[in-house]
Amino acid sequence: MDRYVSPPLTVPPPAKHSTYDHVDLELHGLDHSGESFAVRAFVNDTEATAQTPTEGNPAYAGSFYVFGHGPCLGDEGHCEVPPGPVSPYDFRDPHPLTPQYQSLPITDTLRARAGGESKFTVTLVPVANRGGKPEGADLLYFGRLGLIAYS
Amino acid sequence: MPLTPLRAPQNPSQDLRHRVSVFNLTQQALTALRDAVAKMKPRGDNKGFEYFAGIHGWPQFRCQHSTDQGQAFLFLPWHRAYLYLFELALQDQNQQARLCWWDWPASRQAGIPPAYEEQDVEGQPNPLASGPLPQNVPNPPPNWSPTTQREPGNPAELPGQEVVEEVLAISDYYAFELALERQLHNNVHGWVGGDMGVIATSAYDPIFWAHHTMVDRLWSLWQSKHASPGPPPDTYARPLGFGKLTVGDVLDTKRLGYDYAASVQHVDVPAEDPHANHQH
Repeated sequence: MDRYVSPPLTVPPPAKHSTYDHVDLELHGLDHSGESFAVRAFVNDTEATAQTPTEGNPAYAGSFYVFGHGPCLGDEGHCEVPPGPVSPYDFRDPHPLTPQYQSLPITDTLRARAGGESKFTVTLVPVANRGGKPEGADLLYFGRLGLIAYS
Repeated sequence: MPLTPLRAPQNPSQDLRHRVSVFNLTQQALTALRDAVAKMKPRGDNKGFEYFAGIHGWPQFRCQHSTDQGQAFLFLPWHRAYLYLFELALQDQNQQARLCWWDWPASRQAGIPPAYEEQDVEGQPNPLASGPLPQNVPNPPPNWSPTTQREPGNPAELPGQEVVEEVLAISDYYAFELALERQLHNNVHGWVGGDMGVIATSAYDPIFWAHHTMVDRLWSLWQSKHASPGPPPDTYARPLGFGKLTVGDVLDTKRLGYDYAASVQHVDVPAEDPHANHQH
């Protein structure tokens, strides 16, 4: 997808009292089979796009970067990720395209944008380097979003 | 499990290689590096440039990065061993050749360092400007070319010194490693773009090696700053896929024959008769 907008998320309980130490946004099962890209995260800005400024934007929570695998150069089946070891005797490393986990601290932005609210949204925007220019791209695929608060 | 060390060097201070910034290379050192890379490129054996590039990406894909299946504890040790073996292969071609590190913060105005950007050197193609791509891939994309290409972004988007310092300040090793991999390493791969921008072809671009030497240097700086090797002892016996080398073998750069000294100065002492000042 070229953009992900979360459903309204509940502020983790400690946040209601602004006593949490830090909050991480987690992405599980992240696809990295294509080109490299950045993922920009915005809090309470459902309209954010690749053109939305990041400098000085209080909704911008930060970015993380995905090192893409690149195009599939192999023969048929080369880039198919098996669900796991094919037998108890299969000790090979995981397939290179095994989905990734990524996390991003969003503590300060969350405090500033949703400190007094019980619900907020997270918008994730993938941005690729195309010909030396940042450009929105249909690259963001993942299985689960996590919000982990630590007090 | 106890750490099984590599064969101890006979004289640890002898021939210790000092990897320097690409911006501080002497002309002699740059010439040696270019000479070694140029000699590796046409080789079709296991001393050749394509052989080493093919370990990281196509066709072997043995590089270690973070996945969804655990912490990325092999990212730094694996790449340190990989650089170590590549540097030895460089020296097989030119004994004076050394890896250099790409100081990203120092490139936030000019972008790709001139040593890697210049297309021609004294009328000859610059060996560091691009590398050969394998031409026998089964399923090449339409834009597959004989040599690597770059599409660098805005230099101001390279990591600044402040961001580098923030990452170095992280005390937990796993958190440091993940931040170094994802926030700095991944970012620069994508910033260079083109073939450097994807795992399959990145190591075929000569600047890959300067980029990863910077990553390795930051691990070395972190080790000094936090007085810790990083990986926990229960990972030391883990093989890295390069012969006998294990995680424990690559924790100390000096055991591998190099360091990242900020400056090096040697003063030769004139030979004297050791008994000259003795009174009898």
